[in-house]
Amino acid sequence: MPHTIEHTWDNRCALISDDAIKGVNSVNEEFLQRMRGSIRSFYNSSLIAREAFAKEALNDILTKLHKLLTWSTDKNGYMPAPEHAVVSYAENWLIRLFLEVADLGLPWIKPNVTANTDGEVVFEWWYGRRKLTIYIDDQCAEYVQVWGADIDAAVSDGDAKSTDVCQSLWIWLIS
Amino acid sequence: MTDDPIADDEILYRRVLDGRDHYTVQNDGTIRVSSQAFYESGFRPSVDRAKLRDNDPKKTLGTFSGGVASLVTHDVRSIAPIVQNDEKGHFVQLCRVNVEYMPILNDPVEPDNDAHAEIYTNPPCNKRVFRKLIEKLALLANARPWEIKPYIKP
Repeated sequence: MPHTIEHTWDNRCALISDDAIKGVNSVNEEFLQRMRGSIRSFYNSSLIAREAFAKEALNDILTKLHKLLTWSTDKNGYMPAPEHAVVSYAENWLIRLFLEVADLGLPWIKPNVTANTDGEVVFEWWYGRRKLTIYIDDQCAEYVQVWGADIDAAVSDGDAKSTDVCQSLWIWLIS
Repeated sequence: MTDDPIADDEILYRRVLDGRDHYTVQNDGTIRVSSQAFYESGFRPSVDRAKLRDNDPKKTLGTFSGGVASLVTHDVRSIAPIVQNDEKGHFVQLCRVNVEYMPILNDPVEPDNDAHAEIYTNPPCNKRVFRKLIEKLALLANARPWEIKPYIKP
């Protein structure tokens, strides 16, 4: 997520930092510096607003996610809680996916949220005969996709870190 | 593995505990078991042989709260071998799925369980293959009625 923000910010800077600066005097240079500052400020506040919007929309899911941190021993025995870093990564991953889905104008489906005994956070989505499972540890996200509802269902897996893959997975899920 | 092999027509019980989000309630009110209900770190999900539990799933649930899902041994053995690849996607091995009887007796941690069996792959699989296996197990479990349905608050 932070990488995406920086990369996008670089793109915004590029809009005004090349051709526009050629041949300008010091007054104009100062003006351009201020303009870049304003754009940076606007862009950052826009990112904050987008993240706030996502957090609001995902409130109940994020609450469930954070509740995983309290897992320990209950009446059904011991269930290890995932590490803070894993939950944090999972939160950022989910927010990023939500915003990508929103940007694509596609419907959002609430995931089932759980964790496994290896300390991974697991998101699961079902849509018709398709199922998408995402496994998250503190530094990677991997997917398993299932087509079909019986024993002959096709199953494949892969890395779910990149934006392109996440978008493709979502489009596949809801198509 | 001990003697008394598991017959193809035997029913296997799997406990699905409350409080883990290992099942979800669908729009039509039916309860769907998650693949995570079969997740185990050793990649060998535990099940109980129904016939050694007097075909009584309450004996598998015991004092725990939750539900009991079931599988048919033949269905588990019919899961097509799962391909295990290396990190570059090159073929490594085919993992065949089976069930074996593994009674628990005098274990330092686990209580005795004469009905205990384990689903496993031969050869032993890695995590990626196991993730695919538990998706298949969930599909099989969801194709059958619950032996004991988890209690859902109205």
